[in-house]
Amino acid sequence: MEALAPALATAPRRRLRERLLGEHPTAWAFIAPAVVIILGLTIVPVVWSLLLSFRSSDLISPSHSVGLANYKALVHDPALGAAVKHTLIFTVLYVPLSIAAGLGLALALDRRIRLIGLYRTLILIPFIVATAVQGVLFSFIFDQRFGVVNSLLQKLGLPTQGFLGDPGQALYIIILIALWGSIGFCVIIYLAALQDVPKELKEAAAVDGATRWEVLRHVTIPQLAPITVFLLVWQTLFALQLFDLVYATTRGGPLESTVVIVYYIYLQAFQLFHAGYAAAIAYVVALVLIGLSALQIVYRRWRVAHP
Amino acid sequence: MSLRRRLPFSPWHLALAPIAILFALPFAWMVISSLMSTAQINRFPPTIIPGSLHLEGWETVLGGAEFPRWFLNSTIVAVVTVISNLIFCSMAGYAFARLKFRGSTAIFLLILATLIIPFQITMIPTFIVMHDLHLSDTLGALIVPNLVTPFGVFLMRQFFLNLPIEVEEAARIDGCSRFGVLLHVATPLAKPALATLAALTFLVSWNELFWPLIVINTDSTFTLPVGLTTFQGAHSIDWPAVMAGNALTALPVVVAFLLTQRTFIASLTSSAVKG
Amino acid sequence: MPGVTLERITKVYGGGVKAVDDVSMAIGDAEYMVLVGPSGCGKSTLLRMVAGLEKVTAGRILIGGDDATDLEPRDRDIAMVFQSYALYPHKTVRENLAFGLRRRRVPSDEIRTKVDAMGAMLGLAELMDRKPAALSGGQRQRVAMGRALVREPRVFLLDEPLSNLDAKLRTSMRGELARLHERLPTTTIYVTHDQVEAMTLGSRVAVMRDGVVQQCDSPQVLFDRPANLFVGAFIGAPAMNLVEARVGGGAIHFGSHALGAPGLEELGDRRLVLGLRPTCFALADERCDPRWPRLSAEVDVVEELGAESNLLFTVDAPPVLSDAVREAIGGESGSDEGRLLADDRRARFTAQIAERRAARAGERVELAMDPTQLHLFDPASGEAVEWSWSLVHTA
Repeated sequence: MEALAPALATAPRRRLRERLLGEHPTAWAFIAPAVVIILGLTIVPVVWSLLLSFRSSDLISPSHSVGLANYKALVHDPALGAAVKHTLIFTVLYVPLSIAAGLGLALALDRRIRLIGLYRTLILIPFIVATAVQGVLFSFIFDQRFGVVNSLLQKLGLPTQGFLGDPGQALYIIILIALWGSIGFCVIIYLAALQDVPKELKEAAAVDGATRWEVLRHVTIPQLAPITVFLLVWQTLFALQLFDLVYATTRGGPLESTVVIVYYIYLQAFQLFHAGYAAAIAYVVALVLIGLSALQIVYRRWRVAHP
Repeated sequence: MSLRRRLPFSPWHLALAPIAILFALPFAWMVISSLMSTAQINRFPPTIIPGSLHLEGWETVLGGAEFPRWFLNSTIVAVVTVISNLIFCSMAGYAFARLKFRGSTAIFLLILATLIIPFQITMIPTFIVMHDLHLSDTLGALIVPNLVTPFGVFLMRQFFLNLPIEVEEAARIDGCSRFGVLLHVATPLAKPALATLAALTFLVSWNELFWPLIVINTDSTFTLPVGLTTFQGAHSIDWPAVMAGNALTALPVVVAFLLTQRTFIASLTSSAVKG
Repeated sequence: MPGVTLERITKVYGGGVKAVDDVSMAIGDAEYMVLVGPSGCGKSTLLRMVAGLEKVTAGRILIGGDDATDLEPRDRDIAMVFQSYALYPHKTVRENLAFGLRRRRVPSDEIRTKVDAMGAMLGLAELMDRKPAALSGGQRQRVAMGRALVREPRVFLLDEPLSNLDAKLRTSMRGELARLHERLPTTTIYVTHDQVEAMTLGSRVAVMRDGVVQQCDSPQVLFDRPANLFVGAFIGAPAMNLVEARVGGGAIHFGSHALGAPGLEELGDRRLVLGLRPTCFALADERCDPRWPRLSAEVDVVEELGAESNLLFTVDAPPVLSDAVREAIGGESGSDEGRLLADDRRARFTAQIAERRAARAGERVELAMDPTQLHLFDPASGEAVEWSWSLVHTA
């Protein structure tokens, strides 16, 4: 501080401003829009939502405090229980299948043969079109009366199915559509990661006498572990937040057999106007999701620290 | 081995071609049925290869008032969102990468933290905010929350951090202000990152369904995904028109993707593989 | 007052690291000042403060007599050449050269004339429409120089501009830079870690260590009268031979050697560090001044350099391993790293003899030493110890 004294004396005003705002006051002008939008429409709502979850609110008239009532209610809500069950079924099937299929396809596509670019493009396109488009398209394909799948079944002499109209099948059809729509993403991620597997490692293993399968099993797949963890978390986050596809196909039906958690939150908040209750459910789900993301971040840090 | 010798092409095609077709087939079916008449579709069992082409579906979609309006709305929202993200994310990313100011690390970490906050806990208050700002049921409600995204700020900051700082210092000595450096030197060098940001922002904006569904009520303010699902609910027997609308919604992203495939794929993978 | 004046400049970084410590110097108009020192000595930080790229923690910078301490880089009328050249990768050579003039709103026909003239002067005429990626290292270096020169700044700053060139190109560019300064005399501050560059280019050289200027003087004075052990060890190639010694009874003792020279008596009896320039040695024959002290040595290695020979030999006294010496030698030849054979802890000497085939390896030779190139330093403070011979013959 002693060294600072003469400098402070030479230009006190500038130095003071600098001490308060940092070397570059203009930086605040640069970040202002981002700070206002991102913090204003995320950090503020996060706190607001928490407060809301202790209140009874219909979004319009003034709310009143209900203490922990919303949280108590959600534990005993059978409809929520069903939504959780549907979500978990979806997650447990969708996540491993999408990753396994993505890895398998990426390994198959990781070679230089003709048309390989076309194959990759065709497999990725479903991922980039809107989920709404995917949902509407498959509503038609799996339509009981006019759908092409039933017509094929008929031609093959097999019994036609209810598909999205059958409470026992709808959720599984949605899983199938979700897989079609997202395997391409897993493939592209794995393909990029495969480029980063050092060729020398595979060659070293081959020289050491490993078969192709052993190279894959003991070199390539372990090298992909960080990416697999990333996809595991990413796909789980997607699965637990499933909404668009349900809305675009079944809207929760038939017989509420496809109501998933986020769809249920949507219903509570914006159809039934139980905003406080919806906020409480959202908070519980969010904690799980944030926990998952945090795990992923911890894993990455750990990976970097222990290469 | 013997199989390889007998085939004029790699045996991998035998597995990959059918799989690729399986992924493409639904789109083919979408296009074909958009060109059928309702009569052709309503036949039971349905036609798979139509004998004649019909444009009624497309006429309903393109000639009606709704789809062109929704297409326009989607375009406005996407274009404004992309441009504002390019500008604001660059500015914020540059400031976080290059300018030292009090609280810069704390604010950046806070912005980074918002990346893992799920939409469900922010949507209700955001809805109320939009209502209070008299923006609900307008395109503004779709644009304002997405003017700047934390992902974009993060992406641009990473990019600027990796630019050689001496080039920017040279520009400052050559007579540029901080903003001049950003405008004349950093931004032209950031073209790859800006392309990535533009591609992903467009994709997310164009495909968004959940938020517009919540905040938009009037037909004429719908974007394509909301309009499409609503249209399907109302016209579930007019499948050719629904499929035409579906194709119309998918078309811009598919075209954009095919034109800029390299950037798109690099964008999708960069955050996962490198981040 | 033209030129650059630094008044008690100090730079303290966030973690409390003092990069530059109370540096004052006055650089005259059109003077060529070289800042030299090992990496981390603060020379680049000092230059960057003059450029305005780093804020000063305390002190004042005057450029052309005006207080520039708080000015933005663009308002200082300076130009800078970076080690990495920092050319704008997205602009052609022409646009790179024109960029600074354009920012200063120079009329475009004037820009064109100036840029063309500069391109012609630096031999860049055929490359004007290329981008930096399509240029060789030497060409990029010239563009970087041209971009700085074309602005005709009041002060010209160069930060290790030759480090990225290969050895041969570096030597020829060094000569070019000297000629350029003859043609366009502008106040110049040049930062380098290479003492040969410093000695050949600078009209004055400031040797820095740990943020402090150790000595600032003409190259000849730095070589002849180093102010301390660090400067002595840093300046000169091959480096000064250093050995722990004791003076007493009118002679300098180290190992089994004793060097007698007039004027040593007044130093009394004390421990010292003896520094001998490699160039001080000559074969002791009839041509030598008989008053020169002598030394007998067994030659380990002979390096034939054509016109002259380096004789490498070991003396049976400990080498000087103080921090100052380590830092001074460390960067280039490496004090410990440079030792392939960790055999013993004896000092190794180099004698540069201006004769071809001066000796053979294994031969025992008698060497005479020019006492004007014989330096004494205090072992604790590292400060040079003055004695009469050195005063008489080098003043």
